[in-house]
Amino acid sequence: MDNPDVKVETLNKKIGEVAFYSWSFFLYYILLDFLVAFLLGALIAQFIGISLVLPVIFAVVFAFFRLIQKRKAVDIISKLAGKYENLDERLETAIEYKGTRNVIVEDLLGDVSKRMDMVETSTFLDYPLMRKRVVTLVVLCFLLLAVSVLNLRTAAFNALDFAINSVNMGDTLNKVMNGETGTVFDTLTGNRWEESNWSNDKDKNKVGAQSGGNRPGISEGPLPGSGSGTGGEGPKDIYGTASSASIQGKDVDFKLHPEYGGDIEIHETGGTPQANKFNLEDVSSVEECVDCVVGPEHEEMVRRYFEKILPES
Amino acid sequence: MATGSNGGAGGRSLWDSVDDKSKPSAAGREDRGAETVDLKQVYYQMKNTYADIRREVARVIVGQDDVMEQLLVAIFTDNHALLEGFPGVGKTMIVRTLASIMDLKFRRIQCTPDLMPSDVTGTYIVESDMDGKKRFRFEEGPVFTNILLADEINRATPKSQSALLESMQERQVTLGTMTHKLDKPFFVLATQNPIEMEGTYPLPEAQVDRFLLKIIVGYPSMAEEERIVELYSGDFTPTVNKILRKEHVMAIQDLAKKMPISADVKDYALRIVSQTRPTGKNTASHYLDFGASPRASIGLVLAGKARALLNGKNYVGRDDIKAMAFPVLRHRIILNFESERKGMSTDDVITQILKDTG
Repeated sequence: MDNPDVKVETLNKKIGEVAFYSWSFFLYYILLDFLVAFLLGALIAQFIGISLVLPVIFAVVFAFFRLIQKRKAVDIISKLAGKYENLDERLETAIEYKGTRNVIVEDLLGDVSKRMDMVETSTFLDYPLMRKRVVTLVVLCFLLLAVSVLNLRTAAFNALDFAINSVNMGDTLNKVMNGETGTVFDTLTGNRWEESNWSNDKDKNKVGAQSGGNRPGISEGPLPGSGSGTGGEGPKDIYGTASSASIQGKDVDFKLHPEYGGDIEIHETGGTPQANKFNLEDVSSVEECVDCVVGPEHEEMVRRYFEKILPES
Repeated sequence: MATGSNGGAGGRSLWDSVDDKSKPSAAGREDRGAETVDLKQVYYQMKNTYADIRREVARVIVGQDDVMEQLLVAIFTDNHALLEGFPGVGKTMIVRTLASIMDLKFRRIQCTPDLMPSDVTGTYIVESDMDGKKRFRFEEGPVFTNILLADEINRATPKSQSALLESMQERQVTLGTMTHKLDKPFFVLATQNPIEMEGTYPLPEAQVDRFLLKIIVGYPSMAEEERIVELYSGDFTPTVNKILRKEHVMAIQDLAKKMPISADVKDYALRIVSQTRPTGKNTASHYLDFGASPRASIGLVLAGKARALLNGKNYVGRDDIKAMAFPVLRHRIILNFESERKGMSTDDVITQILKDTG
């Protein structure tokens, strides 16, 4: 080992070994990054229903950028210096002076070669990083499987749709209850519109079960637009301003207050309200409702009313 | 070698390792080059040699390890040093002891305002030869030595200071048409004290710059002072053994130049020096009027190399550069009014600069 050329050769060999393993580990991290990016992309693609080619392209581009971005991390000297403090300046100096021959440099080369024997390549494996990547991969795999097998996409969209409509409905009803007709409302999509009165085009967008709008919705009945509740596609302003109808030669005003839970107010046109409120709360069916809530004096009148209007729809 | 150091080969000291034929003659004026000794042997015994030097110095000087190290750095880089300290702290004794340990010729000039240049360099005197003919003979001044102690250099007039500083720079003395080379190695170790400034001629900045290091000799600690009193209040006569020969000193100088230093560490040294120059909003612009010259960069790297060698290392580390930044820079930077108003010393500013440099 007295020959300085042998010392240099040994040093080069040791550094080469470390460099090889360091690059291998680095490429392994990049591969994990690629897989994470691909699975994430595939998950999104599956969810929004696009081709899987895009996630592949995304993952390749991502991995390439990671390669460019992190390639400096493979600087062997810095890595060795970081892990083995006693090699830091010594190793740098030895590498810079490996072409020089004098007693000090030769001693330094021998010294660094000996110290390089103590270097363990496994210390360059970044365990926390690897653990994170593997856990992420497992989670993403599970999610992808869940989305594909359980058709979570449809369920999620329904939930989202329901949430959006609930927010809109609740907001609007609150404002109307507070007598804020004519108020300017902000929609979820960022549009602004003015509520002119209770009967307007907004109703058309409501789910059938809620207000008899023309949009199929949750809990809708067998016929589109007719929900399992009190909805239907009858006169569109039946829930709005008072409507008139002629029943048995008598003109009566109808006013339905779905915001109050289905109360119906009926009275003669221009007259004072007669029995008035049909409390439909806690009622599971129309029959039950009629039996327990609607007074016998109104039962016939209501029945005829609905018989009259049903054929029209 | 332990920690990559050059102290593994024990046994005989360097002094014993030189054959009688290569030992210096009584005249001691021959230029014995480093080639007369085995560089490898000198290198591998360096750590032991330094330990021997410290041991011998400790017989006479109590404490002052840093001062000793810095003086050796100046000598092993073939440069000069300026020692500053209050009277009675042992400046002269340290230099004298070091000269004794190294078996080098030692002379001393006590600088006073009436010191003439010829008292430093020497002069021609007229004498009669055997035939009664008159002729000029050059009488060497105290500058013809290996280690010259210029005590209280700031008390000499600028003219005498210049004569000395010229020989420091050129390592030769020219009188009339004759040029006389100085001995190798040649070091000037000058002292000055920071008080009693009346009747002194402070060295101009350009001349101070020629000293590689400005070494501050401080007061000893209580324990050290107790030991000093114990040593010197009796009938103790300090004696030291010789450790190094002239050729060893020159071999070590040669080795110091060969000491490898990585580009990164060299860059660190350059950044420190560059940070002393007031630019933009750096520390120097707040506290300094003038920064260090490129000579300081050379000096800092050289001093770092010599320190690394002394400590038995085979490479120059940042710690070597950091340690030598104070003695190399403190006489090369000029404090401004702001730092003086705040009572800051040059060492305080250097500390801040080192922090900034990282």
